[in-house]
Amino acid sequence: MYQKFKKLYEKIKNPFDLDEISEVISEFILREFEADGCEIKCLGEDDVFFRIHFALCENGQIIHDQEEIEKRFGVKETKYGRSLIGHFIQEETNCLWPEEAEDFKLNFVDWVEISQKPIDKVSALRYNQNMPGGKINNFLVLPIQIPRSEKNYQGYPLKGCIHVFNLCNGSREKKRLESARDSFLEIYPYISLIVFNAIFYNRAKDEIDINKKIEKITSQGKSIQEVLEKVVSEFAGRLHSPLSTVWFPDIKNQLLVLHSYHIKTQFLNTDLKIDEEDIKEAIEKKSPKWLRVDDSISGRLMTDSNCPWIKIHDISGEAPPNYKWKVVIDLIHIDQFIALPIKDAESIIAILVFHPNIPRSEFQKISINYFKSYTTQVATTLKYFMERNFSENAKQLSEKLTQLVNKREERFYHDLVEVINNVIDAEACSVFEARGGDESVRGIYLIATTDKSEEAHKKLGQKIYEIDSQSITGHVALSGESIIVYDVTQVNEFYPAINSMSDNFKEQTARPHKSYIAVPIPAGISNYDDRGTSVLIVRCINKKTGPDIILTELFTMDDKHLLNYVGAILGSFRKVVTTVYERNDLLDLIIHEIENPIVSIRGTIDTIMKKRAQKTLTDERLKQKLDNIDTQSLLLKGLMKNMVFLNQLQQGRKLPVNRKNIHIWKEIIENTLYWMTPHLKNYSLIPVDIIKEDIDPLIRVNADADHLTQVFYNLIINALKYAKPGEIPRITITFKKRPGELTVMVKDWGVGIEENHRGKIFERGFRSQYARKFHIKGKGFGLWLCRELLKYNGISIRVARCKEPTVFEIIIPQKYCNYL
Amino acid sequence: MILMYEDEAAFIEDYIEAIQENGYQIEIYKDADGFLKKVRESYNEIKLMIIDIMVFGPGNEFSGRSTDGGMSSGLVLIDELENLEKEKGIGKPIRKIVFTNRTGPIFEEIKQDKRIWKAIRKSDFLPSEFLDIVKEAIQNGAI
Repeated sequence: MYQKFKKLYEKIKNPFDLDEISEVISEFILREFEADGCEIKCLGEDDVFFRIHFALCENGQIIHDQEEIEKRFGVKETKYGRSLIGHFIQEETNCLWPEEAEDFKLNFVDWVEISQKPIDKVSALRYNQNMPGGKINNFLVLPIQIPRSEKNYQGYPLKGCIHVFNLCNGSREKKRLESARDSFLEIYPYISLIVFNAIFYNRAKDEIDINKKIEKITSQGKSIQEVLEKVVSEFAGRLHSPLSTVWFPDIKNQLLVLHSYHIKTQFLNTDLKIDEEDIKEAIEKKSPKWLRVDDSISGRLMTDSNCPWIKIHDISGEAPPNYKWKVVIDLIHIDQFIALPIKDAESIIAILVFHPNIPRSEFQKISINYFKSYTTQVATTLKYFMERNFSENAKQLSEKLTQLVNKREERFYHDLVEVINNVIDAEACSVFEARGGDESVRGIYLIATTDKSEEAHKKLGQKIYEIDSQSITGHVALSGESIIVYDVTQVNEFYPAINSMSDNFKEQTARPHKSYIAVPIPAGISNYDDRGTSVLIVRCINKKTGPDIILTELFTMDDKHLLNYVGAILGSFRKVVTTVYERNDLLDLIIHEIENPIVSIRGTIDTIMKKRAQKTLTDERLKQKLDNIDTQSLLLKGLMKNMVFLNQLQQGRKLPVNRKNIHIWKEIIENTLYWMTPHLKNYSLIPVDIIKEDIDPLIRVNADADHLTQVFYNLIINALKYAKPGEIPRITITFKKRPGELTVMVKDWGVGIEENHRGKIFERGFRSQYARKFHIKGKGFGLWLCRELLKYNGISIRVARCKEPTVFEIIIPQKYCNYL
Repeated sequence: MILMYEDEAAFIEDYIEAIQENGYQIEIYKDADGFLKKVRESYNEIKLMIIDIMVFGPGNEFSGRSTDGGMSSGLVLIDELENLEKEKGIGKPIRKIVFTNRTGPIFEEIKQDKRIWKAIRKSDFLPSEFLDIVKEAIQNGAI
C-alpha cells in the first residue's frame, strides 16, 4: 500500500493546495478501500459543521435542538465535544475504530458521555443523516498528526482530521474489514504528514516579516526556555517543515538518533527519548536505525568544527564524500534539509527536515534569507540553555539577562554591564565589540560601574584604548577561543600571544584594568561578519582589592566554559535587541532629516518678514530666499518619497510602476540636483560642478520618474557623504550606449568601497566599516532602496569599480530606452 | 568670535546670517578636528560655542569613539571641551548653547546638563529669536 501511495503522492502538483491533496487522497482511498466516503478536513474551533453530528433520540424521535439537549442534560456546549470529530480534536485520540454502528444500541440518552469515555464505550451515537454514503456501518476517524505540542503554529488553533466511512462498501465481514484497516493505517501517517504540511504552509506563508516575528517571540517569552521553544517552532513554520526538530542526544560523539527513527516515533505518538538501553540494543542488533556519529550528516556536523551547516537540496542525489545519508533517510517526503551544529557543544544538534515538493528556488530563498540570520541565534541559545551544569553565577546571570532582554529598555548595554557587574562582583566592566585583525580596533561602547560617583566614572570611562592586531581582541577573534587574562602585565601561560604584545599596549591596558575576559560572539550575529568574529570583552576590577585586581578570585579557568555561554547568549539576544533599536534610531534620523528643511523654511520666512519690515529686502535677496524655500520644500518632498517607498517595500507591498517617456538628464538628474541644492551647499558643492560627460541630449528612458529621481538622489547623497575628508566632492554622471543597453555611470572620487563589500553594499542595513568608524549619517537603506526601485523598473545597478573613482552603473535595457 | 559645530549649516543659513548681520563673527566647523583645533589655538577669542548634537561626518578626533553613530557627537565634543577647559585651569568656562534637532530622553538629559548654558531645539526658535539668545549669552557670559 505504501508503494502505491508513494506513486500517488508524486502526482500531486502543488503540495500546498489542500483541495488538490484532499481530492487526490480521497479518490485513492475510495478506490483502494472500497469506501463509500472519505473526507479530509482542516477545521477551526468555530467550524459549525462538525458540531451537529450528534443528536438526541428519544422514543424514535431525533432531536437536533441543541438548547433542548442542553436543558435536558444540563450540559454546556464545549468547543469540540459535540461531534465525533470534535471528540478527536479534544481528546487527541489517535485512531477511532468503532464497531459496526448497528452493534450499538442506539440509545441516544447517553450521548453526553461521548467526550469523556473511550469511544468504544460510547453507547449512543448517530452520524449525521446528511452525510454522503447513506447508512454507515463502520467508520474511521483519524486526527491529522501535529508534531509539536498543542500550541502549534503561533497558538493558532489548527486541527485537521481524516474520516473514512463504510470501508469495504459497508461489508460486515470482520476479516476483510480488519485487513482494510491495517492497510489504511500503513499509509495514514503519510496522509497526516502531507495534510499537516499543507496546513502549516498556508498559515506560515502569510507571515512575511521575520524580524517582527522573532521580536514578537522574544517579547512574549517569559524564560529562555520559552523563547527557545517558540523560536524553534517558528523555524518549523518558516521552513514548512513538518518535522523540524532539535536533538539533544545525551551521549557525546557516540551515537545519533536517526531521522527515520525520529519520524517513526512521531507517528507512533511517543516522545523522542534516547534510552541508553535502546541504543545498546540497537548496536547489538546492528539496527539500521542507528549510525555511528561520524558517518551521518549530523555526525559530521558534531565532529567537524569547520562545518558551519549543511544544506542539501536533493538527498537522493550523489552523496559527497564523508556523508552517508542514503542510509539515513528513506521516506518519500524528505529529501531536503538543513542541519546545523551547535558550536562547542558536541552533544547537541538541530536538524530540520523539509518537504520535498517545495520548489528549489523557494527552498534556497528560505534557507539563505532565514538561516543566515537566525541559525546562530537559535544554536547559541540552545547551547547555552542545554548546558545543565551551570554554576550559580551563570544561573543568576541567565535569569537577569532574560529579564533584561524582556524589558528591552533603551539603555540595554548599560544595564547589561550592570548585570554582569553585579553577578561577578566586579567594580567595573565593559562590554564592547571589537574586531580582530583590525589595525585599530577601538571603541568601548559602554562603561558602567556600580560606583555611581562621578569620579569613579571618570577614572574608568574616559580612557580609550588603542588595541592593535596583537591585542586580546584580535587573538580572540582569530582563534575563536575565549580568554581570561588575570593580569595582562604578567607572563601568560595559557595565551602566549598576549606575552608578545607591546609594552605600550600592556601599559595602557593595565591601567586600571589588568584582568580581562574576552569572549567571541559567534558569527552570524555580529555586525562585523564581513571579517572575523566580534568579541565581547569584560574588564574586571574587583571591588575589594581595587585596581590591582586578582581575577582568580572571581573566576577560575573552569569558568571559561561558562563565559562562552555568556558570550553566546549575549550575542544571540543582541541581534534581537539591535533590530529594535535600529528601528528607533531610524525614526530619530528621519525626524532629524525632516526637521532640517522645516527649520530652514521657517527661518527663511522669518528673515523675509523682518527684512521687509525694516525695508532692507532687495529683489535679488528675495529671489534667493524664495529659491531656498523652493529647494527646501522639494527636499522635504524627496524625503517623504524615500520614506513612502521604504515603508511600502518593508511591508512587502508591491510598488506600482508608472512608466513614462522621460528625458533622463533634464527631468531626472537636473531636477534632482536642483532640489538637492541645500545638501550640495553643505558640502560646498554647487550643481554646476557636477560634470556631465558625453550626454546625449536626446536620450529618453521609459521608467517611473519618481523612482529614478529617488535613485539619483540616493546615489548623489552617498557620493557627498563619502567624499574624502577635507576635499570638495567630485561627481560625474556619464551616459554610455552599449549593445542592447544604456548605461548611466555615476562616478565619485570619495573614500570608495572595499573590494569584499562589493556585493554587500546593496543589502538592507549594510554599513561599511568606514561609515561606522567615522559616523557617517545613515542606516544602510539608501543603496538597498536604489536597487529595489530599479528592479521594479526592470533596470539593474552594480558597482563597476570600487575606488578612484567609485563607479555605479545603472544598466537600462534597450527596450526601455528611446534613442530618437 | 562664536564657534559653531554644525555639519549641515545650509539648513540654518538664516540663523547664521542673523548673527553675522548683528556684527558677530561666526566660524562654522563641520567636524570636531577643526573645532577643537580652533579652541586650542585661540581659546581666549571665543565668546560662545553653538553646538549641534547630531553631527555626522569624518573627524579623526572622534573616530572610534562612541558617538552613537553620529547621533550624539555633540555630547562627546562637550566632554572633550570640559577636559580641555579643566586642563587649562579655566574657572569660568565659555558658554555653550546646544542647538539641535534631537528629541526624546536624550534631549531632556541635555537640558539638565550643567555644562550647557542653554539647550534649544532648532524648530522651536526663529532666527530673530535665536539671535536674542545669542546676544544674551554673550552679554552676560564669561568674556
